[in-house]
Amino acid sequence: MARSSTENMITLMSSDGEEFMVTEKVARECTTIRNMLEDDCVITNIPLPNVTSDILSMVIEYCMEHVAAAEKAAAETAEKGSSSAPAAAKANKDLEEWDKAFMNVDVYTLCDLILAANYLNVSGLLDLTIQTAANLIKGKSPEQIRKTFHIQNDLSLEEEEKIRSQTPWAFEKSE
Amino acid sequence: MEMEGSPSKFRDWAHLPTEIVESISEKLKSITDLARFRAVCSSWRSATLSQLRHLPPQLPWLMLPYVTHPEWISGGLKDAGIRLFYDRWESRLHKLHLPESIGMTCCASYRGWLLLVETKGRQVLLLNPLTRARIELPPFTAPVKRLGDNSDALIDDAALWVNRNFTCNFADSKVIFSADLTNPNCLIIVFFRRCRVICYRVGDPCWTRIDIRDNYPADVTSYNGRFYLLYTGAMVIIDPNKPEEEIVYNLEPELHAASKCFLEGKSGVHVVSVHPKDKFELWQFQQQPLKLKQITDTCNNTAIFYGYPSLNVCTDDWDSLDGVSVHMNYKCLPYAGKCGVESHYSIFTAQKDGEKTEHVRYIGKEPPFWVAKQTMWFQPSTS
Repeated sequence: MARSSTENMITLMSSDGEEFMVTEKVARECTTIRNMLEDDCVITNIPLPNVTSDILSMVIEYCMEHVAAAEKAAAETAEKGSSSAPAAAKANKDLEEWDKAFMNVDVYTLCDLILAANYLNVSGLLDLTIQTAANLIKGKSPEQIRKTFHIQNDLSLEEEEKIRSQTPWAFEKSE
Repeated sequence: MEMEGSPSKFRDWAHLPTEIVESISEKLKSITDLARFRAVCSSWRSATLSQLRHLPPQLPWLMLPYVTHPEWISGGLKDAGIRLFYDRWESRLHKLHLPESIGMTCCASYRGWLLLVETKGRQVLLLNPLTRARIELPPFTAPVKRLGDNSDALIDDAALWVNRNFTCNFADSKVIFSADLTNPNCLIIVFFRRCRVICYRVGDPCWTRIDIRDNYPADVTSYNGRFYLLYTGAMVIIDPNKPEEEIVYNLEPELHAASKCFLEGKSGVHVVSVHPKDKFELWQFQQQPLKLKQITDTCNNTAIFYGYPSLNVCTDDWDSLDGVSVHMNYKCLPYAGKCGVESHYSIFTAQKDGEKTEHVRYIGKEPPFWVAKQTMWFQPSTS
């Protein structure tokens, strides 16, 4: 990505001590960081004790892609006066495809990404990861969901029986 | 795919912050998915206690007909009250045990409720088959009030339909609510095709007859507290508070010959017209000026469930449907085979990229459904 030399760079530090240098624009995609920058504009080094380096690098990758897409759309609008609808639709579709490919991760990484997106307050990424989790749940029985997400069933037999009797139609075996 | 190493404490799906579990559950649109989500573990369950509120109108299930009359049930079989609902989206048949429906005809459904009527109309009941909540309604055989008549005079209009085949009339009916059922002003409106339109407010002593013309409407709906009655060439709008000031809107000439009905589930008043070869048109009624305007740019994810003569309903916003589609329910004749009775039902789906017919096959020990009854669309709801 081309960076203008005047742009401020921010260093983000992961929980395991790795440093990531990003443009202020990319860092501002995280509302949590944007708020820090607005409170204290000279800050250039931000420790993120809740995010590991592998997850932080993914969050940054996501933010960079989305900043680049937004810049490209803005540049096209400025050039042509208004961005053409088919071009905008294609750009949106491309970004959707990118998001989809980006979400091709295992459930542990997905869980970490949800927590990081929540902590850093990256609304687009939070929505994307949560939607991905929901898609993994759709059409599955509770047992299949537990298997998918490696969740222990901590409901007692009585509780389970109660749940099933309240909504028996949800627990039939397909024929 | 497994991550290397053991999952850290940050990677436990069962112990995500409550608001995240809530957000995930809010992305689930299907009532069945949400019910199963809530049965995964205790923390997911407690995070979604204020459940089922956000659910959009559900994609309908196909309710299969059942035999009501004891004399029609042959071979000493007893009706156990098991009712069948086909969930097309999960390709699964739900069997609901509804003893309330034994001896009662299910003649219509609306927003998760079934209208159950005793064979001769002497007992009437609204039942939510999922929550089993029920609302008793006055019998259809009782005298009714006339809309706008403030005296206590009751009319006994049973003569209108007493000589007809009760079951047939009931089976050919529709029920709608003018508001949310929890609203004390909500009117429950029942329309018997080729017969009459009546409404009831919970607490009223009797039904009130709405239609005051000589000929019968083709369909009825309610919007913003007003009743809309659809006739061959006109639409009549009635304000229940000023019934004498009815508004008559003459329909566009091309609509006169078409078979038409109202579409429920969309805000406003919508008319579906059906032309030969199952060509559908959707019209929206505009209030100022009064005009029925054809909608050509239906939004991308609208699915119309055409259930003439019963509920016609549409749902928006189900991405999985991928485009505008029309679903019709058909019934094929049952077939008695060696291993029981096989019944076939079809769902005809028209989409932008073509048409397809899906067959629902059910083999049961029950006697054949010779009764002239259609399958029915039912939109599951627990509210």
